[in-house]
Amino acid sequence: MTMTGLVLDKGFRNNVKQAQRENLRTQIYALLATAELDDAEYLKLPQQNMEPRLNISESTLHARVITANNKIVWQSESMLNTKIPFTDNYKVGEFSFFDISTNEKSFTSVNFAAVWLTVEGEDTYIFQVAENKNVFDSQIYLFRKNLWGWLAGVSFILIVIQTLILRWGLKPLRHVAEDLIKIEKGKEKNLSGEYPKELTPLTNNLNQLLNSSQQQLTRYRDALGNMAHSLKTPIAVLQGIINTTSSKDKNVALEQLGTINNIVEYQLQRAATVGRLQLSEATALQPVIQKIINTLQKVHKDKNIDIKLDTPSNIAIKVDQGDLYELFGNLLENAFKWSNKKVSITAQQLSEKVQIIIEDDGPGINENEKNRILLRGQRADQDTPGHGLGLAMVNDILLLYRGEIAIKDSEMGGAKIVIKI
Amino acid sequence: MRLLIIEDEPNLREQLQQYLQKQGYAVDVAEDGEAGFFMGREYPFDMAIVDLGLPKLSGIEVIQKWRDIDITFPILILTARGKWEDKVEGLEAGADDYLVKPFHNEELLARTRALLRRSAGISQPTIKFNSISINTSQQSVTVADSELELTAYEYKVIEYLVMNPDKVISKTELTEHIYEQDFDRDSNVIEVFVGRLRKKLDPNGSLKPIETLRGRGYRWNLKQINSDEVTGTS
Repeated sequence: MTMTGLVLDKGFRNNVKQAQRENLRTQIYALLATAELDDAEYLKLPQQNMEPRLNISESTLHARVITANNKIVWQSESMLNTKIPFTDNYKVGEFSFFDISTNEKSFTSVNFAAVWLTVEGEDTYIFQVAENKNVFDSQIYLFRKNLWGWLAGVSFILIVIQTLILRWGLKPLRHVAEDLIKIEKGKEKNLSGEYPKELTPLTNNLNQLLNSSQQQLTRYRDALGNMAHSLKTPIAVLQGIINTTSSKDKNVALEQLGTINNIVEYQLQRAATVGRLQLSEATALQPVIQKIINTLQKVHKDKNIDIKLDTPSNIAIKVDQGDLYELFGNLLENAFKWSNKKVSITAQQLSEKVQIIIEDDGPGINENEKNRILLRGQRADQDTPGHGLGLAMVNDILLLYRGEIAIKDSEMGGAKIVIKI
Repeated sequence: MRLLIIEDEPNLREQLQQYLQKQGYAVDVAEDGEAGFFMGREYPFDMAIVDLGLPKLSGIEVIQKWRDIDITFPILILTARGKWEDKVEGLEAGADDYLVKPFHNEELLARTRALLRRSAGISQPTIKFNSISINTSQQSVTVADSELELTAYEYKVIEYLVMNPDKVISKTELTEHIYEQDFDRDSNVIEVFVGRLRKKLDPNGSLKPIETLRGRGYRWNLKQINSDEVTGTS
């Protein structure tokens, strides 16, 4: 739009300039037509001219005729109070145009030299006409005002129209983007909305990608599960065989077998969490906690533990369901194991995270143990079987989902585990 | 007490069977889910130990199907998959406890005993009646603080009677719960066991712990003491 404006502006200016020059030429021709030699062979021009602007003082058009040695032969009425710095350059028979200016005004002028034959020889007379540029400038100013005004108006309308078209045109893409956010937040599993047919190849491909990564994850986990199964049964058999022997190395063998088992277990669980997709769905917290509690109540039936459960049913966490089970299974199992009679679970939605507090009335955790538990990346084989592994797993899961764990002392007497995830 | 083990790995199956037999249980085994389900449905077991990864019918399915037809014996799950989701699934299906492979035999035994006691509504390993005290962990019986010398079968009989107090137990039922399926049974042996037990438990005939109901069976007649420690029956 600006380019168009500039081109039009330049074109118009040239045009006006050309028109002005044409006008100056015409003035010269008119002066030439009225000039004639008198009896004394001096050039004479009538004082009153055909062009009215030349006859008014302080007008915008000025003219004079001089001799080759700068003697004024004739000048128009309009020259009376105006001093115009005409240029001296001329060529006989040619129009020479100049831009000249005084302190206040600027002019376009033309010089034309003509030769008159006299008895004595020939005399050269220079015809000079100047026109105030204001005329030209005001025309250009008016044109520019109109031009840029219109161009700005048209540009604005075009931009508005273009924005509307873009908005309308990009609506399906925005729809896709919104659906993708839903998937990211775990509210949807795939792109299920209605999209224009131009976008269906894209959405189909995205869905395929989502499905295939889900399937891959499932296959990966199944493979790991099967591997765990196939490794652990032989370990159990070996353990049984070693148990029935009476060799003096029995304990060493059992210990080594225990270490192998811990490593297998830890690495398998770790591998299962590392491969986790970021596009996992949000899992409702309450059903998971409730199921784990039911399980633990059954296992620790003799303890008859009194559970205080306060988890709002609308809390969902963007953590894979299996990981959520692992996280709270391990934490709650410890709480049940160590508690005397009471376990309390409270969950609360914070602005971005969910805070879950698990407390029990057991013996609590001493300071050294607290530090040990919080120490990340601890090797599984250094842990006591069945105890450290679970907590190492808790740490791994929290690390993966950028969660936090804090261990405090509960008012109930035992440990107070605060999870933010 | 008679147990059923469903485990597809032959070595582990045999080990478990031998170990638990040595601990005084009658142990039947099945090598796949279908056979295991059938045995659990047809024979009167006191408890089942079920591996989850089984051919033909998975452990979870076996448990669900048993619970659907109101089979109530306690079930201990053996699983190689230590994942919590699996544990929850197993216990939701109707199992009572789980043990992750590999495990120590002692742990298995402790869980087995705990589950058997729990299903009988007994919370402590030692059950006391007047001067008679039965330690289910050590499988020993003391009368007035002196330990009785009992054969394995005599202990099995007294344990079964004690675990089912106030209930009339026929000779057939006793036979079914102390012998394995393919054992050559003779119900007259039961009478012999009961006779010998009476003499050992109550030499002067003052307590009469085992009552005979003619044509019906036997009943353990003593009331447990320390009843405040007893949890409700499951």
